[in-house]
Amino acid sequence: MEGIADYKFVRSLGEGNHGEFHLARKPERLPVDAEFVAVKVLGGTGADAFRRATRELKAFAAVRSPYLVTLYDAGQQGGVFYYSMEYLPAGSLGRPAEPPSRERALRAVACAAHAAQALHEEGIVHRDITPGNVLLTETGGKLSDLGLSQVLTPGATVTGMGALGSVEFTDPAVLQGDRPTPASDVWSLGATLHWAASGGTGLYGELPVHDPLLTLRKINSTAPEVRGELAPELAELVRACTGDAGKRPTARGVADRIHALL
Amino acid sequence: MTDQGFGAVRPLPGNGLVAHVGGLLLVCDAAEAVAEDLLGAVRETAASGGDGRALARRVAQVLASMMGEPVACAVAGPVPEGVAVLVSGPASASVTGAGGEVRLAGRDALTWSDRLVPGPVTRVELRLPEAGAAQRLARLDSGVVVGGGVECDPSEAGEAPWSAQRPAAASPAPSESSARPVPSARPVPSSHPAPPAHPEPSAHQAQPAPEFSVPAAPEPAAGAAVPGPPPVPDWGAPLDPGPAPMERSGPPVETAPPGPPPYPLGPADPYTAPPMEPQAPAPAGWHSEPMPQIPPQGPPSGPGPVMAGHEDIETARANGMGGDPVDFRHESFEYELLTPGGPSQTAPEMPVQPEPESRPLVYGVDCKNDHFNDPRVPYCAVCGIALVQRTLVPYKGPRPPLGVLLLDDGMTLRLDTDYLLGRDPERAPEVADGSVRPAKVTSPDGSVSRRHLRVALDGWDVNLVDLGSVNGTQIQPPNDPNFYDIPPNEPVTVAPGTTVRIGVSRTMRYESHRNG
Repeated sequence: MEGIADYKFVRSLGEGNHGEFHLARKPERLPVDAEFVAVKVLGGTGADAFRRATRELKAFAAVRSPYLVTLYDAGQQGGVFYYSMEYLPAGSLGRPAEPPSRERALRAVACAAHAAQALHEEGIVHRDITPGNVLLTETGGKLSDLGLSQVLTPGATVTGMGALGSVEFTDPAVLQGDRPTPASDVWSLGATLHWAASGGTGLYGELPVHDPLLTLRKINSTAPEVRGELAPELAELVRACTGDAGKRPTARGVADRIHALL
Repeated sequence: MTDQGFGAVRPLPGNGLVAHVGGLLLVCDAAEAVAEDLLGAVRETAASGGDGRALARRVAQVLASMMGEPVACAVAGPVPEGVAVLVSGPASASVTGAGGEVRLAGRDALTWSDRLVPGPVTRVELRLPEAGAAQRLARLDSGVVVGGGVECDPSEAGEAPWSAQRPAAASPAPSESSARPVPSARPVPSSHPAPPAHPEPSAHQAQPAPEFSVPAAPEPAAGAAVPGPPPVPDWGAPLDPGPAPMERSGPPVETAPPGPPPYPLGPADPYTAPPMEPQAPAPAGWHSEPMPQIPPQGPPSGPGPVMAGHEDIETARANGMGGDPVDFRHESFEYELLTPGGPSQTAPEMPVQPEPESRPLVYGVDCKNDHFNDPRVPYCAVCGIALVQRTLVPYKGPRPPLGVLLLDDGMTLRLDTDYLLGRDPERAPEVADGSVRPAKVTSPDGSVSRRHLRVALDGWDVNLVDLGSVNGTQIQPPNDPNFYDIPPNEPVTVAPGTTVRIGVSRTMRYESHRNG
């Protein structure tokens, strides 16, 4: 793919859960100070879905938090939807340019928790907090990429664009049809924290990632639990995040408890 | 488990192969070339003194090397702690051990299912879908015979055990583990459409020998072939001899004989495009004509912006826009700035929650772990635990998702409400009024109509209604190589595992833990 709208793509940055990221040169018109931007291309959607998605992104962009990725614009060309955001060369927790130290990884999760709190205070649920959406920065991390799959294709648990990777970071209640809530974001923060603290182990252990159906079956039949070698305080925090929805900490509570352990 | 193996081993009538070799059991489809390999696996295991675990491992190796549809096959063998059992394809197994009855259906897995059932094991039954009922005096002490399954009681030394003709159906057994099992003719939880009790003239089904044609247990009339779910009037009453597991896969086959696919002359629906409408280049601007889709089969990489290696880039390019790389690049584009201070920035609207709608209430039962289930199924759709129906009182609760529709491009739709599938579903009236969700399905050959197919949930059933599409809708029931046209504007209930062809070139599969 060469580009979209007036973005010229430099290279692919890999797939997100419902589209592909590209590194692109910033067009003149964008009033931002950056040479490169990241553009996510989501493929064809109907006009209504485009409007819904743009509305969601605007709400996301309006939330002020130093820990949220800055969005630039959203648009469509010939029915193909895209949006652009700041480019962070260090990559994500899920696919870092260089493996972060454990402390840096935990700090990034704490930043993502702050970002989630800022969203929650504006009545927005992120819906897709995963290691792949926690981007690394010099000082910590930023939360990226609002989960738009439900917006673009209502009812879709997987949109058919990209890997199924994020289901193990999704509150099982949501997978079974419940509405996403701030508490389900906290579940995802707990799963992401477990992943980061254990060096890449999920709450369900090894998953047959090559086959979406087998993955779903394993997740439906396995109880999520702390599996990695975690410090007792971290294990306790993960359990609190993934336990009874009514008793989960807030996103800020998660951030504070991680900071206290650093 | 005793040292003498499976005790009294009774073959069930049928057309497969039944082997009892060195204390190991095998039941498999004789028509499959792989039967020889499976027999070989049993013989080798027996010859080397292997136990059930070794047998399961060997059989898994044989099955793993197979291509195509899973072979109908079930094996069981003793292990120190109990019995190891493995099933594949339409075969099923039921083992009663220390923890009660454990049922396994090969259909529940994409490959095979296996389990170690802790002893003492009081009963083992392996079945092919068309297996008949056991003759009480029949024995297979050792050897390989033609049959549809095998049932045995390891606690019996081998002499005729049944004091009288099958006592089970009438009196609910006091406890699942100690009771003599319900006769084997209870329909197994497989979606095979023709239970053995109907001697339907089927090409491959030999007439069972007369002594085998004992009426195959009280046929669970209640559940059989009900097009819509009965409102479950009285599930609190004791059910004998067990629930009727999903016999609903029959009707579609009956109603739709193999028709001449795939271009029926559909009624001219004003909403439907002419057949094989060419994929016009999408006009610029807001328009939801077929448009280039990014194919999903990119490298399965972790989400998120990342530094990609060179090969990633190449793959991404190769997959980029399919074979039709740039036709949208000449279109005009529009955008909206999201940065604070951008010119078109308006007050943020509250994000919409497109999520439904309260969930409809249906009658169901809870398993031990509080998962809400279709009262007709024998074991929990979420955790697989057996539902001992007579102890469960159904109640009305919010319906859980009935599974997913898995499209050939990987899109997965959760079945928690109705869907309208088509090339341009968003403009359909039923979508506009919010009663169904749109799901856009396009195909390069233009064979998907704008409003093509409705997926309608009714109670615990998933129904398909072809909306008079030009190129029609076909279904391939599980375990059936043929596709059948479905009639337009008539709901057809589909079983999990059914493949659905939408138009000419797009397919999807209904996948569910439920009902399957």
